[in-house]
Amino acid sequence: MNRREFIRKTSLATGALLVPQFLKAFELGDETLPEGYRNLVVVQLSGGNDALNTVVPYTNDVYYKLRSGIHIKHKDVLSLTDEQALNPALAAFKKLYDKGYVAIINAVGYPNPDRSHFRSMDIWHTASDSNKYVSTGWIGRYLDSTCNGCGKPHGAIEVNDTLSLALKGETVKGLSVKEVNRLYQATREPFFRELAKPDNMLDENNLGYLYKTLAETESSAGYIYETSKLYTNNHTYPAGEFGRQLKSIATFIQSGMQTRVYYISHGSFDTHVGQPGKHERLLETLGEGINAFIEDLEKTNKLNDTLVMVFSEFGRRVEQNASNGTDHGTAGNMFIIGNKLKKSGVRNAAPDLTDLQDGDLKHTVDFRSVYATVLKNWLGANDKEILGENFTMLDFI
Amino acid sequence: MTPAEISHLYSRATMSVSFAGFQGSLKSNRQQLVQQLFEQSKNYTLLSVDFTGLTSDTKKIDRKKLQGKLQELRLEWTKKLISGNEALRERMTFFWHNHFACRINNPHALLELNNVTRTLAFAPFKELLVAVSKTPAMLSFLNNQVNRKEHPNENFARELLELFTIGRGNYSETDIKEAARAFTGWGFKRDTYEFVFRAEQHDDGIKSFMGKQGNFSGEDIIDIVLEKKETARYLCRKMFGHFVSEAVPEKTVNEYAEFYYSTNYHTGKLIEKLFLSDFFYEKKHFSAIIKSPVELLVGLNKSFPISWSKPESLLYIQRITGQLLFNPPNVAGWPGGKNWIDSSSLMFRLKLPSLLVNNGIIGVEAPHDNDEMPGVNATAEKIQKKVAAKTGARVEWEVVEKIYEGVDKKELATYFVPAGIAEQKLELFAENASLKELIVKIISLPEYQLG
Repeated sequence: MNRREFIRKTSLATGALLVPQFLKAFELGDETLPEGYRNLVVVQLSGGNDALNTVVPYTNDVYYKLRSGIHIKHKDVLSLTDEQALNPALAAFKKLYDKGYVAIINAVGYPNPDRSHFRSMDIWHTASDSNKYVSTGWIGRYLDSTCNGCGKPHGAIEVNDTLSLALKGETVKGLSVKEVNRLYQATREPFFRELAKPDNMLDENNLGYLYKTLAETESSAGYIYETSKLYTNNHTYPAGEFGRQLKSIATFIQSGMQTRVYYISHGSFDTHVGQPGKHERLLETLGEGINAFIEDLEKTNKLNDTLVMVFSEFGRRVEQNASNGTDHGTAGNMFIIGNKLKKSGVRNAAPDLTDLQDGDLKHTVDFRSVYATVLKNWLGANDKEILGENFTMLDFI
Repeated sequence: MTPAEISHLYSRATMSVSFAGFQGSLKSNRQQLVQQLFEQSKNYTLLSVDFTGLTSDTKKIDRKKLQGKLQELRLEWTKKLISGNEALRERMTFFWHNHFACRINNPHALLELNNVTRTLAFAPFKELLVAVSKTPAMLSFLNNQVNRKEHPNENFARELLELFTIGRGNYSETDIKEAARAFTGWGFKRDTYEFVFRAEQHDDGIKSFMGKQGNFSGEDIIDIVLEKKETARYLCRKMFGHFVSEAVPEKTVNEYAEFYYSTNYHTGKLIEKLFLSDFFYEKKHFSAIIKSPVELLVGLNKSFPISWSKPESLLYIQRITGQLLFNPPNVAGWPGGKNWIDSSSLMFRLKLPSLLVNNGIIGVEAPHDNDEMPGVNATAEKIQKKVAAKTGARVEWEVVEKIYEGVDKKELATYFVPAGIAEQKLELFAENASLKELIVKIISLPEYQLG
């Protein structure tokens, strides 16, 4: 049977009246974006970024004593306050800081920290306590909470091959796409297109769920493909994967895509051996990429609606190891970047290098306070519902 | 037994079966078939990987070598899951792999844990639990190696109660603390990999655990937890989720838990009872579970003689679909069910069967005028060819066509999808289809993602 016959037969079997109400969700809404359609860009530094060599306590003797082989020299740093300075590899980032576009939050972590990459990343993704196992992510639950779960997969996009736990909700899951064309073509395969037709979706069990996901994917992939074509991005980004991915996100935003959260990873920051040089290259890529991204959005007035949040699953041990590297630690720092910050600059005290637990920093800010602040004050969401409890609001936005 | 019942049993008990195996079972009754599954699992081989040249201390060996051995371990088990004669035992080992989820970098310790669960897969649960608790893998993963009298580490005790035995809501924080004390001193020798009880690090004071007082040892703690019927219920509920359906009524859970408890937690007897029961064969359970990526991959390999010129693809597929063996996300295992499915994983999973058996082509794709996206076919074909070269998976269709020769549509559908495929749908795409086209279309349906 050819495609035409197939369509004729299936459409005979389909009556518009039979389409259940819930399928309305598959139809795309108003394509024009209201003013102030805010979005959040989450940048994950994978592998555990060494917070102390990123924001350097350049006037603290303890730092130099414990890191004789890997410290950042006092004369090289880009000073922020009397106590803290940026690693010189973050020169591009410093420009943003000087414009008042950056808030730095020190000593961010959670109680009873776990030093395993995977477990700690799990905790950051699910926003759970460290002794609980949760199978949904905080961004996924945010999608669940928007318009009673009628959110679409493209409400949160991860530029990657696979979808991180952070973007998986109970009823809505975000969408991961590395190359828009590839995903689009996969969903345009005639066999799958026929399957994605509504008459296959009357079932509410697992089979129905698969068909529903297929239809949503087809719809979202088409939407992303069509929408992103509307804007040609000529801005120059640094070469490499990270720059390319940021450029994709900027293009999505500028094309007017109805996506609330974008997700991207950079790494690996797992610098156990020979940290100097390796860490600087990673930071340079980070700083230059984000600087280009912010410039790009500012040029098109989209920065007004965009907030960037940078995190890592943990910071690293205060004292260096014998291989001129650092081992897994606990609290780290977070960056919030945008032109709408209520308060920018270094937001809280530098971590205390003398008050350690098993050689690691004690956290002073729970990362879920940062999530809560962004959810409530930037995305206008119900932070308590999403995070399960009330966390202290911070003042950066 | 009906063909659907047979297909259902194999789907759950052995991650599917070859078509010859399916046809050969058509005349058997339930008793015979279940007995045969257990019989075939009586004799088994252990998983083995050659670690010559690797020291047991992970800090001393280079990471590349270690990673290589881990990959080898994953691949060896994948192959064993596909072609091992002791298929039911392998399936059960896979269940325990998820139940006693362990994420460490030491292939040596992981292999041992895997073999412990294989050997004791059907044994009374206590034997299995004690043996697992004494493996270097668990001792190091859950920090019991550093659980000492002066500094108790609660990690193992917590997971023992929360995930391995009784489940949340049935113990207090004090129970965890007291249980941790009882397990102090359980460790392993770094050089020989043997379990060791370090009496000098063991807290032999009086502990108060779940309403009892005494100088409890670790094994005493396990005995006390197993005395609670809630533990039998927790384990039955979990097994049902893997073997029957995620939505089994509590009444049935209780019934099976009573039985499990009365047999002293004899897992083999429980599984046998389940596979012989009418409850297991209720139609609503057919194709009610979303296959895990490993089940999907293993099942495909059982149905088709796929030759892998690049076996590492088997691991790449596991990674992309979110279930790389020996790499669970955390001690709670893979969450499973709908968690396997998101937009991108679904598209990949739907495309996977045709990619592995037919270079990514689903049926006959007559060129059609697609004004929405001109040139889509040419591009798609190019990509398909590229991916096919990448997967290194090859199927001789002459062989496959002989296997399935003369089989009617409905039987084919039942073999691949226990619940069958809606007649209307089957008619629709099977009209005038060649055998090959029919098969590739069936396994490309969302229905095939269920088992």
